[in-house]
Amino acid sequence: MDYQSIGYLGAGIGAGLAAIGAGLGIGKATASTVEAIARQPEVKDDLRANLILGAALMEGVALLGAVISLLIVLLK
Amino acid sequence: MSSGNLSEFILHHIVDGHKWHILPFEWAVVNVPAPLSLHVLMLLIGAVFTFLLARTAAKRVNLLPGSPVGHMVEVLLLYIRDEVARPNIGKKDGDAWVPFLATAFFFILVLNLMGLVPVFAGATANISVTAALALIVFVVFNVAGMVKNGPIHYLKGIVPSGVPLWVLPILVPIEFISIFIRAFSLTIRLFANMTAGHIMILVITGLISVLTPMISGGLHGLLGGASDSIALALIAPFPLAFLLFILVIKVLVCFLQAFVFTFLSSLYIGGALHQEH
Repeated sequence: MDYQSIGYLGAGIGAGLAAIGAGLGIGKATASTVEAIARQPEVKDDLRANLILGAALMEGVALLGAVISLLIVLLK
Repeated sequence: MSSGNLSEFILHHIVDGHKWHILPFEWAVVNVPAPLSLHVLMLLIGAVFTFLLARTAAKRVNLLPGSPVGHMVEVLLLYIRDEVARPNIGKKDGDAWVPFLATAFFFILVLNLMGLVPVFAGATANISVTAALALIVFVVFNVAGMVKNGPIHYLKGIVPSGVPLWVLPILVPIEFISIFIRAFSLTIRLFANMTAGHIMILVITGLISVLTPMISGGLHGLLGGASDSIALALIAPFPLAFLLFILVIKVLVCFLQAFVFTFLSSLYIGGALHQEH
C-alpha cells in the first residue's frame, strides 16, 4: 500500500466520521424537538426556526469534513 | 470517462477562471478580462439582479406591494424583521438593522441561486467571496458595538464582568479568539454548503458517463455497435431522476444558508450592541 492509497483511505474514513457526528447531532436535536412539540403543541412555530438553525449549523460542520475529504481526493 | 476525467470535470465547474462558458459550445465561451474573473463577474451580475429585485419590489407600493415580486419580497422582509432582527437585536435597534440584514440575505440568496441556473456560475462556492462577505459582517458588528458602547467599554465588555481574577488570563484570549472564529465560521459554512452541493450535482451527472461504458461493455456481445446508445438510454434516467431530487434540496439549501448567514449576523450584531445579555 503506497502513501496515496492511504490518503484516499483517510479521506473516506474522514467523510464517514463527519457524517456520523452530524447524524447523531441532528437526530438528537430533532428527537428533542418532536418530544417538546408532543408535550406542548403551541410552541411549534418557535421550535421550528431553532431546529432548522441548529440543523444547518451541524450540517455545516459535516459538510466541512466532506469538503476536506473531497479536496484530499481531487487535489491529490 | 475515467475517474481522473471525472475529477477534472468537477474541478473545471467549481474553480474560478477567466472563461465564462455560457453554453456548452465552443462559440459560446466569453473571455473575462484580467482585473475581473468569472466569480467577480458573477458578483457584479448578482448585484445587478439584487438591485432589480428590490427596485421591482419597491415600485408602486402604497399600502400593499404593487407587483407579485413585491409580495414575494415582502414575505421574506417581514420574516427578517419580525423573526430575525427584532428578537436578536432588540425591539428598538432591530428595525434600523433590517436594511443591512435584508441586503445581505437577498444578495447571498441571489448568488446561491445563480449557482443553480445553467448560464451562470456559483460565486458563493468560492471561499474568497464568502470570506469577503464574512469580513463585512465582522467589521460591521465590531464597529457597531464600538459606536454604541464606546471603543474602550466595548473591548472591556467582550469579557464578561464578575469573573475571578485568576480566570482572566485564560478567558481573555478565548473570548478574543471567539470573535475571529465567528467570521471564520461564517466563511466556511456558506462555502462548504455551496461547494458540497455543486460537487454533489456534478458527481451525479458524471455518474452517467462513468456507468455507461460499464453497461455498454456487458451489452457489446449481444447488440454490437448499438450497445453504447442503448446503455446510455438504460442508465441515464436514474441519475437524472436523483439529480432532480438533489436540485430541489439544493434550492432549499440556498434559502437556508442565506437565512443562516443573516441570522448569525444579527446574533453577532445584537451581542455587540447589548453586551451583558
